[in-house]
Parts: sequence; structure tokens; C-alpha cells
Amino acid sequence: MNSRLQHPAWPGLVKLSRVLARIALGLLFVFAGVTKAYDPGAFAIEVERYHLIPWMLGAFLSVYLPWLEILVGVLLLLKRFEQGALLLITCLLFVFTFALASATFRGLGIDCGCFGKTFATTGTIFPLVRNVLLLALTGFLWLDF
Amino acid sequence: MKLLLFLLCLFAGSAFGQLAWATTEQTFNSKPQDKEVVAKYKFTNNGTKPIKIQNVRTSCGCTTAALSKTEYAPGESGEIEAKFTFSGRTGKQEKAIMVATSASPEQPTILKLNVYIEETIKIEPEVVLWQVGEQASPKAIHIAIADDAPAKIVSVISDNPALKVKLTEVKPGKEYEAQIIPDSVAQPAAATVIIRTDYPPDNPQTKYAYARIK
Amino acid sequence: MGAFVRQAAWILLAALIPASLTAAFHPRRPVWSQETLAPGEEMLPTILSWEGSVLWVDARSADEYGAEHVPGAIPLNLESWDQLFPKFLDRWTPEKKVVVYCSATTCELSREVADRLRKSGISSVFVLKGGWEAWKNRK
Repeated sequence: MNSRLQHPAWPGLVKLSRVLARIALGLLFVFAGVTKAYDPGAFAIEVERYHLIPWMLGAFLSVYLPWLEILVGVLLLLKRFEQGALLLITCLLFVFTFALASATFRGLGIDCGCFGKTFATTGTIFPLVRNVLLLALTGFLWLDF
Repeated sequence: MKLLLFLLCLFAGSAFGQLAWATTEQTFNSKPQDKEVVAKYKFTNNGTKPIKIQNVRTSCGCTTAALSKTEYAPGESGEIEAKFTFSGRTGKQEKAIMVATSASPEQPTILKLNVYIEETIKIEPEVVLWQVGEQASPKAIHIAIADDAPAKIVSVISDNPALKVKLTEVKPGKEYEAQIIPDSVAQPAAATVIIRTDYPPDNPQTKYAYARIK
Repeated sequence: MGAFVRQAAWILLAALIPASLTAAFHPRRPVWSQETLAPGEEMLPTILSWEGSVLWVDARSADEYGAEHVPGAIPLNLESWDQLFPKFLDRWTPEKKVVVYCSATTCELSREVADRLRKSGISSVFVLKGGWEAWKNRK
């Protein structure tokens, strides 16, 4: 699956892009994991608001997911267990994208009349686009194997 | 090298660029006649990408939050104006405002608004109760005026002549005891004890206590 | 393909270690069961078993109460406390178990009304966990 373009600079550029993509993804996941690991309880409550999974599963994910993200990010940065890390990152990105898309298209329902004014979720488009770009990045790294 | 760093920033910008808040917790001391408190929370976009405020949620309907606009360019500042309406609440109140941004949609920032609403006039207990057939002895309601409030009790009366009120001053101008004396406890009865004050001068408060024979 | 899956499996397993430590010791870990009750809260099945001794109190807005409410429930909220509390007292006796509800689990009004009732000297005051939503979804 190697590129066969003839321009002399091309292989170098591709290699550089792969390194950048690997570092960017790795850092992103470590950062995402660390911010979630700080307050699992709050994350569990946020997951519950999406009304996609039962509470117990959300509670489990809130303590498990951050560490998985940190581990996967670190492994990517250190270039160890790269294949496993890449597979998991792809799966995680698909899951997050699905959850975001679901929230965008369903619209986050206001389930309690006593909540104050809420702004419509006009802004889930941005992280949704970002996730799709990240998936593209990940796909790019897959070409290495 | 510079190119590498720039590209890194571009990709990581959305993760590392967050809103920086001047303060996330504010505390106020208020009186019930203030009716509400307004707190402003200033923030700045510290990232390299524009940030959109997607969702602002409050912990109760008593607190509303307002924003002038939802999108902020890098370096731009804004503020969230939170208004907490007391609606008869007193004592220590802790309300929360949850702000979700495009920079971290799954992890909202929690802004806290704490208010100590002083109870100008304390009535303890609010309800005195006799069970039919028990001893018909008087029960006392204690009325206390907060130290720094220039309030005075004007009158304390019962709306039911079968349950009389005898008012004594425990501490001149500050503490009173209203004895509720039932004529008889053989039948169920109800009375509202109306406590009139002269404070605040433009709209004097009337407080209530209740006597019941059940 | 085998290497991908094998490595992924190891990573998934390895993450369980810090995860279990978090679950056991993290100061901000989530509660495991939503069945966990805060002090003063009760689940609907327990309350229904109390049958006739329950006095329902609706802490929601007048509009919501007017639309529909638990049969026999009395409206009571902080804004109209002075008007509504005497009416509550008329229906209340010391033997009753007072159960306050608002819209859903994530709503503060029922707790605030319950606290005020207890402060007034009313005994046996509870908050319905899950609120009106729990009542509507009961089987």
C-alpha cells in the first residue's frame, strides 16, 4: 500500500505528516483522558444527559474511558503497541462521533421544567467536524501498516 | 522546527485552547427584599481557534443565565450574566451554572453562585400543633429580629378568636414570645397568626405562623 | 489483523487497573447505583406501599400542576408559600407521610420545599426520587 509518486520530496513529506499526525493524535487523547480522569463523577452525569446508555454503564465508562484514552495516547506517542492503539483510537472516535451526531440530530431535550434558559445546541457541528477530521488523520496512519 | 510547532498547534489547538475564566465562584450577602442577585462571570478565549458556547444550563429555574453572543474569536472576551431570583428563599443558597463550549463539549465548566440571604425576621416554629384530647396548654412561637435590621414588630394577632395570642417582649425590640392559648382542644381548629412589621419602610413585610388543632 | 486485535485486547485489559483504582479511591468517583438515595429521598415503590398514609405535595409551577399532577396532590412552592401553606396545613395531620415531588431527578424544587416543611415543624417529609417522571413511568 505504499505511495508510488515520483516527486523526490514526496516520501519525506509523507513521513513528516505521519509523525505529526501520530503526535497530534497521541497528545489529544492524553489530554482528553486527563481532563476526564480529574472528575469521573461529573463525566458520568454528562454521559447520562445524552440518554443513550444505562446509568451503570455510564458510571463504568467514566472511570474506565479516561485511562484507556491516556494509555492509548501514550502508546501512540511512544510508538509501542501502535497497531492495538490505532485500532482502539479508531473505535473510540467512531463512538464519540456517533454520540455527538445523535445529540446534534435529536436535539438535547430539556427534561425538566425547572431548568433555566438553555441555548440550543447549535455548536455540536464544530466538534462533529473535528472528529471526522481526526478520523481522517487516523485513517492516514493506518496506511503505514 | 517552527513549522512543526505551528502544525502541532493547529491540530492541538482545539484541545488545548480553552476559555479562561476570571472567576468561577462568587459569593454574596443579601437581604430578602433585594429579591435577586446578578453575578457576572468574565471569560477570555485563550485558544488559537474560535470557541462557540454551545449550552448554558442552570441548576434550577430560579437562576437564569444570559450571553450577548455565542461565538468568540481567539483573544476575545465575553461574560455570562447570571441572575438568581430569591422567591422567598432564605439562608445559604448555592446555585450552579454549567457552560458547555465547543472546546470541551463533554466537560462543562461549572460556575458557582453562592448567596447568604439573611432572614430579617425568624419565626420558630412556624406551626404549633395540638392533638384533639391532649392537654390544652399554651404553646410558644419565638420571633427574633436580625441584629442589623431596623425592623420592629407592629402587631401579632390571631384570625381565630378561639386561639388567642399573648405577646411578651423577651429582648426589647429584638426578641418576642407569642403564646398561643387555645380555648379548648376538644375539636379540630385552625388559626393563622399574623405578624405585622414596619420593615422595609416602603413595603412592610407581614409574616405568618400557624396554629392547628388536629 | 491478528496483531491489531491482540494488542488492542492487552491495552483494554491494562486500562482496567487504573480504572479499578479510580473506582475505589477517587474522591470524585460516581455513585454506582442510581438507586442510592440521598437523605430524605425515597423510591416510588416504597412510597406506593405506604398507600393511604401518603400526602402528595407538588413543588412544580402552577401551570405544570394544572396540566396534570398525582391524584390528590397539593401544590406548594416557595414563591406562593404564604398562600399555599395554610391550604397544605388544612389537609395535613401528623400521621401522614408527606411526599414532595418536582419534575425529575435533576430538579431542586422538591428538596427546597421539603427542607422548608421540615423547618416548619412538619414531621415525616420525603422527596420522591425521580419526581413526576418516575410517577408517569410507573408500571
